[in-house]
Amino acid sequence: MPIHVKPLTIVIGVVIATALITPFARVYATNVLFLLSLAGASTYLSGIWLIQAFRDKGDTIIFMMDSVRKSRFSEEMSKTESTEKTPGMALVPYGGYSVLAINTADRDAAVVPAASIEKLSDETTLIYSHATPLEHPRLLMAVASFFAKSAVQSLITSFNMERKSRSEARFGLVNNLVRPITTEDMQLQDQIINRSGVIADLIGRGAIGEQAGIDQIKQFISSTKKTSLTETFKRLVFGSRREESMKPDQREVQ
Amino acid sequence: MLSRYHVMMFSFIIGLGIAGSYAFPLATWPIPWTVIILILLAALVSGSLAFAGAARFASEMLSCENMRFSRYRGQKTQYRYIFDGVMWWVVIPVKGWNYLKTKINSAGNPGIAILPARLLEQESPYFPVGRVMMYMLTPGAISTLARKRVFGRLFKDLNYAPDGKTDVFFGFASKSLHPDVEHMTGSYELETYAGNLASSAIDLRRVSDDLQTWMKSQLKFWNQIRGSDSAPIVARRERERDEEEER
Repeated sequence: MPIHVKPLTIVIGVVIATALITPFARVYATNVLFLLSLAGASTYLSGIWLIQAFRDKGDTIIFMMDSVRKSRFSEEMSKTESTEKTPGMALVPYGGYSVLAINTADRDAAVVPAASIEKLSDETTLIYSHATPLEHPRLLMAVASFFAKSAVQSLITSFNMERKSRSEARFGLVNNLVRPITTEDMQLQDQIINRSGVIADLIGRGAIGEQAGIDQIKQFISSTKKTSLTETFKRLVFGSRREESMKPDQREVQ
Repeated sequence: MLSRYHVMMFSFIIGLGIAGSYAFPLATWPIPWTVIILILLAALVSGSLAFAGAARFASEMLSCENMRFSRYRGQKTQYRYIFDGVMWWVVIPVKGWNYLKTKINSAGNPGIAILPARLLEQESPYFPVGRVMMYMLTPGAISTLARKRVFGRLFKDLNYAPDGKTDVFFGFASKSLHPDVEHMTGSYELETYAGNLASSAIDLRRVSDDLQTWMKSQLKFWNQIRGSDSAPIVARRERERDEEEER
């Protein structure tokens, strides 16, 4: 059976072999720590770009009306049916990727009309809704709390609405496939989004009832109480207490 | 992408290595200089490949049914339209990239994608969609295509030579083409959605006010207890009882 080898491969092989032969390669005593740091730094830089390259290779989602491309790992998680007044909406997680043996859960979520989502292929999903990014993922509670709660509880995504969350949330209520979107449509959508902060706060209070009042009093007390040096040190070393969860966290590679 | 934090970390690791080499000058490894060069070359190549991959993710993109192509935006990157006597075709330069974050680009598109113009869909120039299956043409297939005069002229205009430097992709046969009417489900009365949210906000405001009132009364009650004459006695008895229970 003939073996096909490219001429360029042979040339590279000869160069490498020649370089490794001792008469040519003079031996220098190189500091191991410096060598390690060189290798570490170049691996660090390559790693950063490699993660972006993984996002390019994996499945992708394109917000067509906003000219935004994001990577994605999972499919749309849940959706509602249309009525004669409101469109059926869908929860679309994105921001993760899956390439070869490496995958990251979706960190972000968008809520858009289900009819504005179209699969061009298994790898590429198109969204024809103006999905406005929200200031904080918590605001998704105000505009579509049913989806926000299920996204937070889901073990498929790492989406969360904590204060220092790195998640991104988008919300779109219009569908460009049904009719051209006017400025008035977008103004109305923005109006809904812009007052979502207050509603999110009210939902937070209303959902836990009297506990909200107790929490507020505790907050007042803790704001006046000084933490001891030992407690601060303990929190620094062991971190604050968190509940055990199977939910993926928001680190890049898991 | 590469932020200031990443550059800082990179410098920190190198700095650590330099500091380490001064602190432990005897920790050496006899190694041929050619091996060091090969290691550095390998790092450079892997870094470049990773960089190009990251750049593609940050670039414009032509999405087709079975392939995606990044695009370089710059001079001579406009679409071309050609008519073969039956239908219009669009020719899109592809496979380049712009990495705006790092201010570096590929300075050209080393490939072209040819597809029926009516199957090209574009909401914005950044993410066009080709509703076709794309196939990469071999030099033989390209010469066959070039026999048709319009395509022959196209390849001549593009200075195409079958040297493997320019990839040519040809698209036809759509699987995903469908009428937009399939998406016309439900009604989009934004006022209804806004109205629903507004009414739930009013409801929640009432709940919040109730909670506020409840909290005020609780605080008032607490102040009354703390302010009463018997409060210190009650507090002392409570403490003694707790201590006894602990024992």
